[in-house]
Amino acid sequence: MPRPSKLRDSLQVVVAWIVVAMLAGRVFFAARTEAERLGDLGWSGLRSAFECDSQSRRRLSLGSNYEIVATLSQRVTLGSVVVFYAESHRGADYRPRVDRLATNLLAMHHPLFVFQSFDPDEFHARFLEFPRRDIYVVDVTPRHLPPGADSMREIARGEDFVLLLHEAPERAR
Amino acid sequence: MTVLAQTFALFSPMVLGWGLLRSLGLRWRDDTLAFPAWAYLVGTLTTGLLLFAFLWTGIDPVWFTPLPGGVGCILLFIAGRLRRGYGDDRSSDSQSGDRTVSWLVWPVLTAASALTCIHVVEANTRAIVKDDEAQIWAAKANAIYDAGGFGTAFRARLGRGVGIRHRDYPLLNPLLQVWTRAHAAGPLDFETRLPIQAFSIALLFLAAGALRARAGPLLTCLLLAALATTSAHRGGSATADADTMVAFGLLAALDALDRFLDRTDSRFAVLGAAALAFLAWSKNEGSMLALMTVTVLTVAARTQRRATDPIGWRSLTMIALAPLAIVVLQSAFNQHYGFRNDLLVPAARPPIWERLMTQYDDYAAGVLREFGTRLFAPRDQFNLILGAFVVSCVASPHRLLAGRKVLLGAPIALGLVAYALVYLSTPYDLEWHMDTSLARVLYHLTPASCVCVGAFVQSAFDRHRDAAALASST
Repeated sequence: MPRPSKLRDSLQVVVAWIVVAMLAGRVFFAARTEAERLGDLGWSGLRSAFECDSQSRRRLSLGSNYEIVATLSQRVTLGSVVVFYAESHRGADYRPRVDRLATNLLAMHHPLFVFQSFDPDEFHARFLEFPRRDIYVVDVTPRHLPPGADSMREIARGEDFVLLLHEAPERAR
Repeated sequence: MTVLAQTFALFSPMVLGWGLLRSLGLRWRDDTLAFPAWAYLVGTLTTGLLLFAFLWTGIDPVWFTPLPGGVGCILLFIAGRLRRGYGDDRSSDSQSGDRTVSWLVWPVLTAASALTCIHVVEANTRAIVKDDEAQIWAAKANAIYDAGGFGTAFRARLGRGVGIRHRDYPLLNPLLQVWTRAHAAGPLDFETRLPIQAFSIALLFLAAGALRARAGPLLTCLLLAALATTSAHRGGSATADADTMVAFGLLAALDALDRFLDRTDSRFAVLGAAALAFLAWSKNEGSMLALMTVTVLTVAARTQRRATDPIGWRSLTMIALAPLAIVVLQSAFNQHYGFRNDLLVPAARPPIWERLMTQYDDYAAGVLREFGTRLFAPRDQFNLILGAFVVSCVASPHRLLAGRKVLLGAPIALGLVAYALVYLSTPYDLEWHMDTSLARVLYHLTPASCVCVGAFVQSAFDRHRDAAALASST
């Protein structure tokens, strides 16, 4: 049996203590960071996170056309209803963008109901014809709630699938 | 999805795993900390395999939902009646009577689990709609579920160009999401994340058990706290990505097989084989790590001199066959649908070895610098755990990379080298590739490194104490 090296063992003990010390230091700082983060969150924040409703979860901020189409493609199935709407804002017309989005999405999912403009009366009338009730409402206008969005939400509220996607203004330009 | 359905979807695989472990002869008292994690591992793997068989034969997954929990209950009932397995004399929880351990480790484990639960709750205020969790894992799960299996509808859905990225990635993660969807009436927002997020908590239990088996209670608490407070662990618990599954599977495999090497206890060989299969089915990186683990195990088993119970080829073959079967199954599936890996078969680019040779000179310095920064920079991404692992290997290479603890150290060290080689041969822009993936792949190795560091530090302290005792007695 080989004799244990005293020097090697002593060195390993020194290294072991160094390892313990650096890990303990890191744990201290990491625990402090976590405590501060939890303090900022608070009980009310945690409670609201726990009670977060479906509408809030589905309200997202998206950027490029690719991201919008990629996101929707994870969710929509045959027969889903997608409502794109955009309005002229600050002199820019976003309707061509809606056309492109609708074309891309229809290319991937056919048949799919896609509305390309916001018209509550038409939407309400056609709503009864839809075979399914999974409805996605996508706002691609670069502001948060265009006129009429509340009434759209009012129509769709209570159904089992409503997605409100909002684009961050700075990324639209 | 109701809370009852969520609970059922989450705990049914665990009941199945518990029943299977009892049939195998493993009991709660074998390791009170790690046992729930073992049960979840074995249960989710078996649920995934059974669900795959159901979907392949075209049976609606809804019919499958009562099966895992039901089979688990039957197995537990039979095990209870027959008192099968290894009797009380083989109980291996050597420290079960140590109250100090319980008083120290359980509160830290509870606090770490609570912290992870908070991360999970915070993360689940977002629906699964963005990034890899949506475009790779949930997209595949949705395609499978909406098509009702792997029949013509699935192929037609793929043919329509539905946005699924990395289609060749292994199926266990999507299958567990399909399992959750089968319990709900309609599409889900975040609930399919839950079975994947549960691995983050199971990982803490597994790490606590693995550490306690090799280190003292104080050291166990320190390393467990270090692991639980890494931002990599927080990130892993926030999404439905498969990276936590890889970290969990690797630690489970190394822990079980190291116990098998130590005790020649065949129960841990079976558990290790299941963990390797899980690892190989979680992500492509998992297959690579499983291959390295089997290689190191074979070399260690055949070269280490053992006084009693030498480990034979039969055991080694049995252990290797489990991940091999999974790799063959996944490869056949990919071949059937024409899925290709983007790193191995990139479009219009030279093959991987050719890229490695041509890019080595340009990329080596950048890769080394980035690895060094991530491993040793004092920030909370890995809490210096991987840096401590490298230091431990340098200080004790004969023990961690060639000696009794080779099975803990060598696969991790090989994993680090393999990941570096992947970046050196990347077909993408190096900076972008490392920015988007290096933290996640290094997290694969972090929990196992944590246990390896614990084993090194404890053995150094033990030998020092033994030497001091010997000196004082003579």
